[in-house]
Amino acid sequence: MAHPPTPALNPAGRLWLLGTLLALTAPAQQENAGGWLENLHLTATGTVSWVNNASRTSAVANRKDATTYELALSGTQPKQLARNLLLISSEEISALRVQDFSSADHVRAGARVALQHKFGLGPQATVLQASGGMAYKAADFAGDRGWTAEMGLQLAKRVLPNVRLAAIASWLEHGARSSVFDLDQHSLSFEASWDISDRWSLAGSATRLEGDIVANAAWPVWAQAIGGGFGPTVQTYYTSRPWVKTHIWGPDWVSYNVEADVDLWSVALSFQASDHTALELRKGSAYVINHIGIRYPTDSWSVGVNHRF
Amino acid sequence: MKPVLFPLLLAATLSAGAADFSCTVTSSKGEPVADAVVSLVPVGATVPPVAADAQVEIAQQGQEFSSYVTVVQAGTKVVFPNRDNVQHHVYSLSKPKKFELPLYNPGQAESIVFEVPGLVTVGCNIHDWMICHLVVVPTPWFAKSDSAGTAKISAPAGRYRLEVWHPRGAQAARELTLADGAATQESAVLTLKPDRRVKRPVGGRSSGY
Repeated sequence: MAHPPTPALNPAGRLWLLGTLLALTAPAQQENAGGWLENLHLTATGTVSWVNNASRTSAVANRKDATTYELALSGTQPKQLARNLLLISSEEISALRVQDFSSADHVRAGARVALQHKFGLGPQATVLQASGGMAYKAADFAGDRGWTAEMGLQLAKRVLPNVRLAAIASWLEHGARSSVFDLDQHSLSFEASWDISDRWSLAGSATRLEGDIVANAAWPVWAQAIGGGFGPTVQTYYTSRPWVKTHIWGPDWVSYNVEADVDLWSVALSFQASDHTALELRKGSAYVINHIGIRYPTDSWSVGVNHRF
Repeated sequence: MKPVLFPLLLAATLSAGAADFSCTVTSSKGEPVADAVVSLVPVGATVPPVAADAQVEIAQQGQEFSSYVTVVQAGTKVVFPNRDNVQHHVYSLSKPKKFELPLYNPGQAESIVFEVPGLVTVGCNIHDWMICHLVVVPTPWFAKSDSAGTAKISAPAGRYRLEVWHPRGAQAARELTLADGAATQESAVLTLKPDRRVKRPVGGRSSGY
C-alpha cells in the first residue's frame, strides 16, 4: 500500500522560501561594476561513480550495483555586507544518470545563501557560517519529484595555512509527491582537508546522520517482510511505514521509507591539473541501519573533474 | 607593478661614478630563485630620499594580486586598485604597516604610503588564497630576481650592506664595496622553507545523501 503524499512544505511556503533566497541573492548580483553575468563565477563538475548496493537493499543477493554519471554547474557570488560579514549566494543545477536504472535518474536545480562571519583577519581566522537552500528535484520517477529545503551551520578553521578543519550541523527536508520519498534528516559532520603540495590535496569527512531514508526491495522479499515471514517486529514496523511499487531497481521492486541512523565517511585525493581544473578520486561509504536493526551498507568509488571558468 | 621611479639625487658621501652590481640567487639545491628581493643599503652614507611622486601599483585582478613580491623604497605610495568585478577586503597584520581596506568595491583604488622599512604581507580577507609581499627597503638601490635568479642593480660606488630576502627564506646581510666603473657579481644561496600559501579552490562538490 502507498500512503498519500504528505509534503513537508506547502506550495506557498516553498514559493516564499525560494523568493526569499532569490531576493537575498540579488544584492550579490548587483556589484558596482559589471553586470550579473560578469559577476557570476561558474564551476562545472563531472563525476563518474561505481556504487555498490546503489539500490540500498538489505537482502545481499538482491543488491544492485550501478555506475552513475553526474554533471553539475554552479554559480557563486560573494557580497561583503560589513567588515567581517559576507553573504555568499549560489545557484546549482545538476543531473544524475544511473546506468541501467533510468528511473533513478534525476535533475536538481536550486539556490542557496550563506551568511559568513569571520572572527578576525586572515586565512587562519575562525569562520562561522549559517546557510539555507532550496532546490527542486525533477526525478525520473514522478513520486520522488519535489522540493528540498536545507539549512546548515558550519564552524571552520585553518589550523595551518594548508590544513582546514570544519564541523557542520545540517538539516534537510524533502517533500516529495509520494510520502515514500519524503525525507527529514539531520546530521553532524566533521571535515578535514590538507593541501599536501601545490597540486595535491587530501580531504576526509565523517558524518552521523539521523532521519528518514528510502530503501528498496525485490517484491518476493518485501512480500515476506510485510507478511510476517521475518517476524512480527519487521512486519509491524514495515507495515507502519510508507511504501510503494516503483520498479526503479527491477520489475515489481518496492521503495519504502524507514527511519535510520547512517554513518558516512569519505576520503578524497585531488590533483590540481591547472589553475582552473582539478581531478578527484573519492572513496565513500555509508553504513545505514534502520530502527529495527536492518542494515543497508553502501560504498562507492568515484572520479571527478572540476573546472572553474 | 609599475616601475619604481628612482631618485636622481645621489647621496653626497657616495662616489658620483656608477657601478654595476648583479646577484645570482639560488636555492640550496642549486636551482635559480625568482622573486627574491636584493637590496643594497649604503653603509655610513646618507640615503637619498624617495621621489615625491614615487608610486607603485598592486592591483587585484582575476582574484589574485598582480605581483607576488613587490619592493619599494620607504616613503613610496602604493595604490591598490580593484580591477575585479567582485569585492575584496585588502588587509595587512604586519608590524611595519597594519591596515585594512574593507568593503573594497570594484573600481576603487585606495593608496597607502609605506614609511617604515620591513616586510608587509598583504592578503584579502574574502579570498584567503590572495596573498602578496611588499618589501619596504631603506634604499633606492634594489631589484627583484628574474626567472634565472638574477637581480641587477646600478648604484654609485661605495660601501653597502647586501640584503637578500624571499618569502620562503632569507640570507644574513653582508657588507661589500662597489668600485667605480667596475662590475661586481655576488651570489646568494637560500634555504627555502615549504610554500605554505593557501591554495585557491578549483570547485566545490555538492554533499548529500
